[in-house]
Amino acid sequence: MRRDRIFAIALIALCFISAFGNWLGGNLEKSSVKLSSPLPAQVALFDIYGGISDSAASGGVLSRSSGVSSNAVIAGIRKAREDDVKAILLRINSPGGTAAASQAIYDELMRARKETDIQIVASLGDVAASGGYFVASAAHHIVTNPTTVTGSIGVIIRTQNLSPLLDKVGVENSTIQSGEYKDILSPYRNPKPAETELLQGIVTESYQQFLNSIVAGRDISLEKLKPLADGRIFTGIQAQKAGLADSLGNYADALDQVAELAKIEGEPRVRDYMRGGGVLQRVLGNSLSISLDQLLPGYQQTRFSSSQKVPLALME
Amino acid sequence: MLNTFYTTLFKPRESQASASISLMIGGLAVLILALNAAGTFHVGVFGLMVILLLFVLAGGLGCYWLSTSLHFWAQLLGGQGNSGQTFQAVVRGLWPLVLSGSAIASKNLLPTLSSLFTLGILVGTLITVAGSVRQVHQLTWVQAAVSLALTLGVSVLALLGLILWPLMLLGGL
Repeated sequence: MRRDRIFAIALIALCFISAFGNWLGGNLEKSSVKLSSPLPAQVALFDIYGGISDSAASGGVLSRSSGVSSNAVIAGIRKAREDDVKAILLRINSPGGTAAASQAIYDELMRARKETDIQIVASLGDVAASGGYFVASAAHHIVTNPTTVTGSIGVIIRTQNLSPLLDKVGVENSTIQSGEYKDILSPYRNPKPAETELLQGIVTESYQQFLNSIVAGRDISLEKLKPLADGRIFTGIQAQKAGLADSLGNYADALDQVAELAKIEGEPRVRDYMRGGGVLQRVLGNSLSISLDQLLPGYQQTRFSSSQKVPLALME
Repeated sequence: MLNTFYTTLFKPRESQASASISLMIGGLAVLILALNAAGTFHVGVFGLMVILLLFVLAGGLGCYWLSTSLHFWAQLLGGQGNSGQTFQAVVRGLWPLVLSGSAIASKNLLPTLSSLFTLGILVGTLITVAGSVRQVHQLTWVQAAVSLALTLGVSVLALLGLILWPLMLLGGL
């Protein structure tokens, strides 16, 4: 290749790479100005947005989970503890999720509460119901918007009997199973009395765990909580009056509350511990990522109502 | 094509620049300016696309205006090129803008040098545009410089007029 060709290619490449670097640099500068500073973070921010489940911690550059992974949150909490943050701020906008995933996050937060001086504040957004409230109950202080929909404390197992529909189209179903309860929650028949009893036992047990967790997390007695925990939903104002939330306000108020509880002077240095990935993911992620909800409307509902896979849900 | 590109940039007297080379230089300049601007405004991929689209439109309009005005003045001063050649000459003359990415990138390391580099690119762009017009219209350097100066002067006056006219109408009607 002639020298002038090489020079031309090198010049074009150099100019293009420099300009591309300027763009990436601008985006990194923005994200660092927004959520972090050269100084260590004082407040760890966790966005609990969407359905809570026990899924893989993070997706790739082009994928964005439509819910929150309990594994990612737990990993973030542990990282925040290693970083010696003074407080954890949970920004919750979730209708709930699976019982196990919600409880896993709750347990990790409670562990942080017991073993460290980290102050935990929850800021409730549009919805913080069921599993969303389960997670929030691990906070020292819950800040809710007046119109937030919260509560829905309870456990549910849903099943359908599709056999009348299948009969109409001439589809017969048969099962070969190893034990009496192996096809429990089968969508092709009504539950048997013994199965209903078994499932009710599971629901009651999980519900009791849910109640005990709220009692442990919040300054509320079981007697006072039980009448509120029949699955009903509350507005933020009602929740505050009932003792399920501590104060009314928005995210900024929650941040002020964090500063007060953690005794942080001036503007708290906040770092988003749910923001993972490398440089490309941080820069390109928001623009290119596609959530499954965008591609498949209703996917979220389907995912959590899939009773065969996730029988025990804290979400309605 | 790369040979022609190299010759157009560094040995313009020997170049037989084609429309494709002009398009390549213009496209590269617009892309690099858009990337720089996207970095300045801290925008993502969608923002970059919008900026790129706007820059392509603005670049096209700007080159059209500049080449029209330059052609007019060059003709008045005895130029021999046609309007298409003038348009291509203007686009080719913008090639120093391609270096603006490196100039901005060096700002973090050497701010003073970066400023000088940027100034050099702006002056260099004026010189290369004048040089391209001079070559196409077979003018002297003085004539080409005068054409460019008049073009820029008229552009400023036109812009002023565009601002003042609506104000005048708003005040008078």
